[in-house]
Amino acid sequence: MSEMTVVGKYIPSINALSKVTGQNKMLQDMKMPGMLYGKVFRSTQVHARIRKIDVSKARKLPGVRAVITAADIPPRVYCYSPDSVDEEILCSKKVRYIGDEIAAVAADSVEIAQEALKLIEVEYEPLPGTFDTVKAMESNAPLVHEDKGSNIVGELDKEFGDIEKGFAESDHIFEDYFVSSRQAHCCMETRGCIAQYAAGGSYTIWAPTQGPHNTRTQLAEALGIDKSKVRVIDTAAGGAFGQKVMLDTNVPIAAYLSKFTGRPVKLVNTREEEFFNSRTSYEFKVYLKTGVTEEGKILAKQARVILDNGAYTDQGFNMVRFAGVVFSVLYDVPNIKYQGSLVYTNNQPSTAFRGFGNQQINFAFEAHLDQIAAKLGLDPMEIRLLNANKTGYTKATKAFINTCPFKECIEETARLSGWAEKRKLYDKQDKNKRFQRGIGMAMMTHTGCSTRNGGFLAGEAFIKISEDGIVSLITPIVELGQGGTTAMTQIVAEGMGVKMEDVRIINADTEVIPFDPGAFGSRQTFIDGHAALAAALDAKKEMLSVAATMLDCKAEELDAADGIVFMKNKPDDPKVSTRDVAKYVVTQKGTLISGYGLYADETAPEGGRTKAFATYIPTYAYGCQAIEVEVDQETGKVEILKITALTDSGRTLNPLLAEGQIHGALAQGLGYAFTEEYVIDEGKVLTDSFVDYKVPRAEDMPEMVLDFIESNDLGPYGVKGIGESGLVPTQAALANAVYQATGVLIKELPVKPEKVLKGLKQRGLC
Amino acid sequence: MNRFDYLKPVDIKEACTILADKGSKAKPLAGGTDLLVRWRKGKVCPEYLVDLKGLGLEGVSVSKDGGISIGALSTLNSLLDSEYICRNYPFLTEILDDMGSVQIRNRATIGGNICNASSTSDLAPILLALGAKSKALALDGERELKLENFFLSPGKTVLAENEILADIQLPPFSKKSGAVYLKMKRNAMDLALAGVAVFLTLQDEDTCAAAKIVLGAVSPTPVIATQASDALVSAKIDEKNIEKAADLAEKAVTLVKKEVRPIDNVRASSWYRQDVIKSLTAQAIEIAYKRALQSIKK
Amino acid sequence: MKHTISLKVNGESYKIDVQSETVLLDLIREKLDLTGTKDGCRSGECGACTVMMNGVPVNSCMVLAVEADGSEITTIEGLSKGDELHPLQKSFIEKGAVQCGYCTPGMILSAKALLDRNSAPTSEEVKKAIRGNICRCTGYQKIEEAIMDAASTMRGDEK
Repeated sequence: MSEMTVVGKYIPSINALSKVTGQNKMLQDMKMPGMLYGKVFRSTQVHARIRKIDVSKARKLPGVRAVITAADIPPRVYCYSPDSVDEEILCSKKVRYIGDEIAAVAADSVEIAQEALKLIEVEYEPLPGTFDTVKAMESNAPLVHEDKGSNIVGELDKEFGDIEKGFAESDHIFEDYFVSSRQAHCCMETRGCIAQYAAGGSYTIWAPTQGPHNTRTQLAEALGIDKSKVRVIDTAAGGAFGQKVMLDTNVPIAAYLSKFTGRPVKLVNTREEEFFNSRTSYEFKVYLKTGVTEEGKILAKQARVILDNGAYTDQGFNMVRFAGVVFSVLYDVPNIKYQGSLVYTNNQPSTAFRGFGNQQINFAFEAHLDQIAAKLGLDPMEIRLLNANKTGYTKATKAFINTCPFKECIEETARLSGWAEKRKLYDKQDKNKRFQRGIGMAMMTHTGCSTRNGGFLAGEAFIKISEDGIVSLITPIVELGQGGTTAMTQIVAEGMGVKMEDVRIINADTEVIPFDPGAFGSRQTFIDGHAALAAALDAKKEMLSVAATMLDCKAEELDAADGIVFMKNKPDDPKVSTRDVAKYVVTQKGTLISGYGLYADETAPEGGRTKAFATYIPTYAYGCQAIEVEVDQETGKVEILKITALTDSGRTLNPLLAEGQIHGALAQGLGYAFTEEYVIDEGKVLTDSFVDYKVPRAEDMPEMVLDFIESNDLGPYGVKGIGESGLVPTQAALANAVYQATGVLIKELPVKPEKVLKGLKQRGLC
Repeated sequence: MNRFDYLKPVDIKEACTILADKGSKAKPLAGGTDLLVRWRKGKVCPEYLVDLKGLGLEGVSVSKDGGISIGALSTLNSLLDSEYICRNYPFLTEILDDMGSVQIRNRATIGGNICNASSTSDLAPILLALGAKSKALALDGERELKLENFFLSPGKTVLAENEILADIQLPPFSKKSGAVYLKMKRNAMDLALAGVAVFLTLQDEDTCAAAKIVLGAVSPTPVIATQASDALVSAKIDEKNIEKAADLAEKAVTLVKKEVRPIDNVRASSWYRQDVIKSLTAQAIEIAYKRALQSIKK
Repeated sequence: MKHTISLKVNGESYKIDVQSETVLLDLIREKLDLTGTKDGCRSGECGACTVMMNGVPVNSCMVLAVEADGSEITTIEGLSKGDELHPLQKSFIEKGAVQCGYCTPGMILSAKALLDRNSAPTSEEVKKAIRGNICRCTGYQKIEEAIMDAASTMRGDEK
């Protein structure tokens, strides 16, 4: 590939200027003429029948414009997953978790709306709740949804090869159990929206989302109306991390409030609501059984996972499957069994989180694998290399590994972290000393480009060029701070040969942008980047043909870069700028230049478009991390000294933003691994503020050493998605490091000092 | 939102008058960093907030004996900037530097910290260890208070509704003394899960003349670990005695257990706090001892 | 109870009526429409609402508007002079310290407060100075680099 002008370069985010000056307008900053403020009356009970709702006093409060309950809206039970229709916009008969929506108020101010909430009276008939997934599966457990007949929402059972034969042939069989707890997204901007109803039955929604089209589809589903009646305008989010893939339950409420008042209604979560109501990641209980040979070759691996769905179904089905896929694909193992259950409880519903279940199952297996290595007397790196994936089809699942830098990732991690020396040094340290050090690693594979979920994996982009040469890309890219719009700008500038500052991004509005499910699964740079590149090349072709007329040569002889069209073989010959070409087209030819791009992965995966397993991921990305710790054996306190993270980026489109993605993922991963304990006691969230839910601060971050492996994959310019993978191996790497330091393995996240000390005491060391 | 009226008295007398008039309906407002959070959560519902800032209760004044009187309304950052405190009570500067965030310290006051009587206060243990005193003002006069008798339960102190805490007085810090406060927290910005303040004065290079060990965050109010402290008095500061004192400090938590439940919550279990107290105490004694030695040698 | 207060925000004088309960954050965002200051937690924990009050950073959610009577406030909007960015704003852009941007205004003001007092901070001092500001996107590394870089620019170091 020839020299690039912007791809692969350190380029600041195109949105940063408006953000450092305070001019960037987010949802919370928006006001509209006549706008009302909404608030939701939420259940204080974990599980109860609603006997009576009295909103009469609230309705009489001056400044209150509407108070609605289930009685005021058409009865409807909905879900984004057709297999599990279970949720109402406002509860009519029963509440199923603390925070469940019962009534809503629209008022002239937030204060009045809050006052009105205090005047709403609800009589409950408390019901026994169920909170632990294993207990919830028992036959006598209270039912979260009586009509379902069971708390088991869904199950998945997959076997590849012959698991029993695999175990029979193994020299050793290891079994273990892990719990990967919930994690709160803690976006700095809490969830919210503005809804505007218009006569004729249509709705316009402004909201930070990870996919405006998804929000549109889901809102239409929730309201039971035709999609064409909904327009969603995405407002650049103040953080998302998976939380904003699915519809915010506030949106349909705000929509109804707007319908009842005829005015725009803004509904924004308080930070407290955000903690107990805006959904978290799924808790995974993971049972593992692994058969290995004496040498450490894995012959059979089996996982049974149980996910806490919470009270209503969200992304659970997809997550059970995705976690199973990455579990089955990481390491080339001939016999695999995976069983997943999704279980209702009276806890807050769970949703997607950056990593999409991978971190939960990866923590379990990667910690388990270190235990196996220890028992066999193998170095953790050795056992991983022995079972490494290779390019091509995997043995059992027949997943296709397009590019596989497994070995490079692990070896580079080892080199940058000083693995061999440190491992040896810490093995030999005086175990009686108060402070003990350890180094641990973990490997991961993740999708490099979303999934063929439902069979769909496509993106579209349009380019228009105005007479001044400004190139506008119409794209579904969603800006969450991750740099999606900057990446698209780079791709268009590089692809067309125009200057970056001449590129504009038009996105966010479902009435304008092509269909696209959104930013998740590390997919947008790959898919929408492909479409943008195709559109750029399409427009470039037209541009060069016009330039050929201007320069009196053949289009094939021309190329463009950085805003200049030039002769490929005679770079010193007269040139024209891309801006001049645009002007020429309009003034001399009387026409315009445009471009169209489509990326479609038309491969129908094995098993059909909707039911595929490992083949539903089109390309896999790899990553490895090593963490070095020091543990105070007197208090169990763990200090993280250094983290080394290797990421398979395919190709690093923009190292500045790519590093930012990994740094941020590491902070979130370390938070999850270490301090972010999300405590729910019988359905009540006890960690409902930043005082007790400890997200990392600047001082908590250790030295971070990053590098990228460029495996040159199928994405535009060779990219793979990197938005999620940075937090996947972090938990196990930490737990494994603490294990080397102390001999204590923490099997339930987070690895907090109290648990470490308890482990040390049980071993008789403390 | 619970409504209140904000009142800004022009002098202490007016402040005292308002507090006397309004009784339990009024709450004094200092930095507000704690009060406003609790008000927003509906945990306190005052009808009046009486702002005590700007009444002259700010600043550090040095008394004749070299001790200091710290105005109760002094912000934590103003104390962090005090050169006199940094020179003469360097351990206090160290504690202030690790309290909350810069933003919080620019508002939070030492008096507010003490009057909130939070079990996790980082200042209470060290002030108790130093034997701090306070002056309380009311319309009908003032009274001296010993800080060790000041805390009744979380959020409750001996101050009457009509009284204002005017200052915190510290005795001069002797040349032969060393002090330190150590705490365990979950991450950089956190409340203490357990804290230990140690203040000791040496007789000579290895014998302790006086010692006070105060435990924080393990019980509803700070605990003076009397037996642990006594174990150090007239004793040699060596490994054996440090361990003995640390053991006794750990037991002090158990002693508390009999009267009131030691803190056992989402932040940490009581057994863990107790273990940490032992470790912190030993470490704190060593540090305080080294500091005392250094000051003798100076 | 209504109070009439006078204050200066970003150099402009305002005389304005506020309720006792109004916090400075709402005065700035709702009454003055300066929405660069963000609302993150309303309990002094996250730092998104950080502004400078009489030269020092405070959480504007933790200050009653009436308490700000007579004070001088600087918000993120007051940091640049026209199109001329403050060195911190420039560095935050160039060093990749901005992702979603929600913490950015507060973060920059905390950094400014540090550099106003300490022109050559250590890495540790930088981290401590932004302890009260949560960033969920960047892992803080690039923020630290940006602050260091701005400090160097402000000192006039040769680069």
